Amino acid sequence: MATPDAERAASVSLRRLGIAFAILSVALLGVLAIAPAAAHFSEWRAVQQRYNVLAREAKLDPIEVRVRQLSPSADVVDRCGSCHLGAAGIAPVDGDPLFAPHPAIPHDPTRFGCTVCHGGQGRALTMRAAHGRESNWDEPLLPRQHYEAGCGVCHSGITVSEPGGVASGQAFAGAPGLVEGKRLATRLGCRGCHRIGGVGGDGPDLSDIGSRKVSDLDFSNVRGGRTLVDWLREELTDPSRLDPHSRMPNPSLEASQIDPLITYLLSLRTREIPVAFWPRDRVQGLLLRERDFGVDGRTLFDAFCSACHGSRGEGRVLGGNAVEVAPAIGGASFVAIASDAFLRRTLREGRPDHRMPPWGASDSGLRPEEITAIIGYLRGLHPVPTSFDDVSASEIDLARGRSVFQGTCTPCHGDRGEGSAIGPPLAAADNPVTLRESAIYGTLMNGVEDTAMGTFRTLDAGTLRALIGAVQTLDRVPGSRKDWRPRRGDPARGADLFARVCATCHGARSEGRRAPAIQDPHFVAMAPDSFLTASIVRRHDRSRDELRRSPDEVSDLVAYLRSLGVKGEAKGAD
Amino acid sequence: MRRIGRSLLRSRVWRSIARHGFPDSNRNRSLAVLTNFFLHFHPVKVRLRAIRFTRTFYLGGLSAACFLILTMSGVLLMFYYRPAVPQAYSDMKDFAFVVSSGMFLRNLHRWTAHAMVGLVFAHMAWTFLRGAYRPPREFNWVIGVGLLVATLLLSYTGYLLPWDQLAYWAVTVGTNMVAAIPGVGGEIKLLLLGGHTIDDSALLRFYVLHCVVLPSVLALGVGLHIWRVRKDGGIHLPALPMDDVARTTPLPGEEAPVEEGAAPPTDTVRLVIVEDDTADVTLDASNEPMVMTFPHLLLREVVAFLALAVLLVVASLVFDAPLGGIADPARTPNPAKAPWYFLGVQELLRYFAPVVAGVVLPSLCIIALAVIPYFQVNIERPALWAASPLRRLALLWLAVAALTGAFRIGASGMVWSIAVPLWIVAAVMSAGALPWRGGKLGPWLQTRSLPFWIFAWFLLSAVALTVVGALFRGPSWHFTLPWRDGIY
Repeated sequence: MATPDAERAASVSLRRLGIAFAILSVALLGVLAIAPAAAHFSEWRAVQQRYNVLAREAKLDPIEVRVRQLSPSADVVDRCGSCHLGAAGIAPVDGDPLFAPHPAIPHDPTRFGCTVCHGGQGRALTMRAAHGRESNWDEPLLPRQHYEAGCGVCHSGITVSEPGGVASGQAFAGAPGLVEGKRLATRLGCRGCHRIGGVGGDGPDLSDIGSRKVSDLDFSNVRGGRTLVDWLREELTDPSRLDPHSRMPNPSLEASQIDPLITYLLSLRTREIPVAFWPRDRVQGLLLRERDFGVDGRTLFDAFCSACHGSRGEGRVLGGNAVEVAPAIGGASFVAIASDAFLRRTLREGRPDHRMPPWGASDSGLRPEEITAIIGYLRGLHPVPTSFDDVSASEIDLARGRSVFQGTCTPCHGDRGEGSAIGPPLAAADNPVTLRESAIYGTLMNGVEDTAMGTFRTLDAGTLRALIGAVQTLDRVPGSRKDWRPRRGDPARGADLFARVCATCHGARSEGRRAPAIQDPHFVAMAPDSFLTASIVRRHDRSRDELRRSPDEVSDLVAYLRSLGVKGEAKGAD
Repeated sequence: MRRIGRSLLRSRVWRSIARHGFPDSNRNRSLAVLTNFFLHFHPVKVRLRAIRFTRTFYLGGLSAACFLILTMSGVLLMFYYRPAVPQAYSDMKDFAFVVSSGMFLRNLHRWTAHAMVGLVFAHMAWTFLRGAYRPPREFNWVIGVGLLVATLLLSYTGYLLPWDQLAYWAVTVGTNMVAAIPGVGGEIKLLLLGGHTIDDSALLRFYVLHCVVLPSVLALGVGLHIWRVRKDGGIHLPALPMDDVARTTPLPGEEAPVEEGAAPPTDTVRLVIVEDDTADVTLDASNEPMVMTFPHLLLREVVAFLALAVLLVVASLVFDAPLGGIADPARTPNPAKAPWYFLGVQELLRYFAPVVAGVVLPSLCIIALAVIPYFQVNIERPALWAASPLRRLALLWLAVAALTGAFRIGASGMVWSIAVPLWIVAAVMSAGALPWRGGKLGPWLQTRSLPFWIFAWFLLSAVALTVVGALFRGPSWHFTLPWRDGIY
């Protein structure tokens, strides 16, 4: 037999254990009941019970309290109708917007579901989770003012063109904000840097910007909330605040432009959509590769060139880490000297190492005919030639003609038209051009292909008549036009001159400070001597001494630049 | 009422089910334990000392209880879960939103799994500290190490199933460690994933491993483990001081030397039916108090299980299991962390080459654990500082310096999480060499064996590595302060 002490201790502990057993069993049953019981106090049940109260007052049949879900495709389950009873087709009652019917739309919600347009988390049954405000859900509900973005997710191919609105007769009146945003994105030149759907510059691709995940974005400099909309608003308002290293120029948008642009940006998603749901414009855009922007030269220039070269091609200084200058390409002086071939090649191949991306179909997605349209547009900026009849009808004012000759022709052809290192002798006896008035007229209006002789269409009829007269009455000089050859410049002297004079604006290396970076082998390889020569002579302000160079100096500079190009080409060939 | 109950208990049907009478007498209680399949792992009577909570903290039993809860909640989860991409993730969402108590079940499964890993670790540590693997229990310890590995694998395979970012990248970290095994690593990874990336087939494999293969292995192993404990005379008890109990024979498996080829020691508590006898408490052959298993042990077990269950249920009601965004191979979270019990290993990756941190060190740990009982580790306790304490102290600190140097040179930086525990353990150990007078601490320090201190170092390092990996590591595994930068 055991000691009485042990016996007593055992019975005491047994009693305590019995009490613990009783308490814990009841406690376990109690806590196990909490989870199933809590399900009966869920938000959506309360909503449906509230509906039944209102329905009874309105003499309508009460509904069965249950989850209402749509499953338009295998992996999509939208339970939004559990609270949004009106949208789920339940007879509407007054008293709560949840019970109001869905506004009339061309689509049947039961076939398309809810989240495909509105975003959010369709499986969820609490408001916070369903509206996508959960840390593990990256596609929140589209805010009210950007609902139309949902349309654009499927309708990715709606066509916009100037002025405002929809082209090709597609009615898309239901989403004016989206259409306006898309139009603005094209007109304001966003695609000059940003590629969308394979077309656009080489900056950040926007094709999937609408599904950027909040968790991947940096919100440290964003004023407002932690949503993609707030982030985009900051980017569109003040990109350098969002990211000090951003190369994006301040878009200086009007307040009314920001919301439509955000709507459009939110609609840009590469999400897969079952082909059965594809609207016609999406098929046209994605399968038939039809453009959703106008393909006339003006629209293309706005969409792809204006962001850097200015809305009228006036040229711009681009900010960012390395200051660069986008050259002026819209003025008559540029079109007068740039050949189509030069423009086409520049557009197609771009300027490697500089901001100008290659725009060819395989790079930035512009088709050959679109490049032609852009060149045509630039060419169109060229003034129409003054008609020969007007010129012939004008009075000859030789004094004026000689003074115009001094400013316009002498830089290349010499003070007395005797010819120079870069221009042939106009006054040579055998120069056939100078014999006939119409030939001089034609040369001035159309230039001479492959030479530095560009066009002079800005001259009016009287001036032309006077100038032609001045050329015709030049004193003959010895020498022959046939024997004239442009002088081969001295690259070493050109380099020296460049460093002293040109580098002030064009930069000492190839960076380009206030003027375009021209010491670029790729540029030089593309630009013919004639373009370089004419640029030096004609595109600088000749009223300033340091910019007025003698023909010999010009040929030295061209030789210097050419020497860079040769090196560059050799490098490229390796 | 009482009569109806009584006649029910006497009925033929009841008798055919339970072959004994109502367990209100010691005889029937003996029969209840003996004839019940679920209770017969227990002897009819147990020593009072063995069932005290503080003896074992019921760590082994509670681990098994966790396994039971996990099996039950897991089966319920299986009714809804589809191991496919992307259904797996949307099923997680359905658990949260539409399955009745789905979130609760998922929470319960998750937190119980964490509790089980923790309890199994604690069970192992406590068993080591008590030296409960001494002969004849050596192989049962090895089985226990196997069960620890199985538990970790179960938890790890379950980690992928939600198919969220946490799951995907934790498993990526893990399988890349496997791939670091020289020679066969790539093949094992391929076998595990059923492909070169973690996708549908990997999910299916992990699912089958998690729901069928590993639970079967674990259930079998647990059965074997408990059966061997029973065969070896119940839980290990250290010898009582001679003046406490008048003892004539040494208790088996303790001081009695095990001779080569000798029959394994048997339990002194025989499988006997206690004849009807009102006394609960008796004395065994060595005059130690014994009590009836029914109700003394069973009640304790049930109360412990209930307490654990209440705790886990409440935890599951309060804390939701984490769920990240859907698995996205294109977006690597920074940092990508493994489950907490592998964070120690991941922390080692910061310092050592993957093959060292992910393969060599963990393998060495498991092998070292498995062979412990065969080296009489921690059983013999020669007074460490009795002979030439100064020389031993010098030797100890020389070893400490050498190890510290090795950790500095062998790693890409000072491994503080291993070095600091080493210094602490060595310092506490050295304190044993002081001339202690009276008190309990001094003798306790003096009688700890060298393996005890090594194991303490191992445990401290594991805890330090895990804590640093879990709380103090942020993006790119840089050091962060949780109270300043939050927990990643």
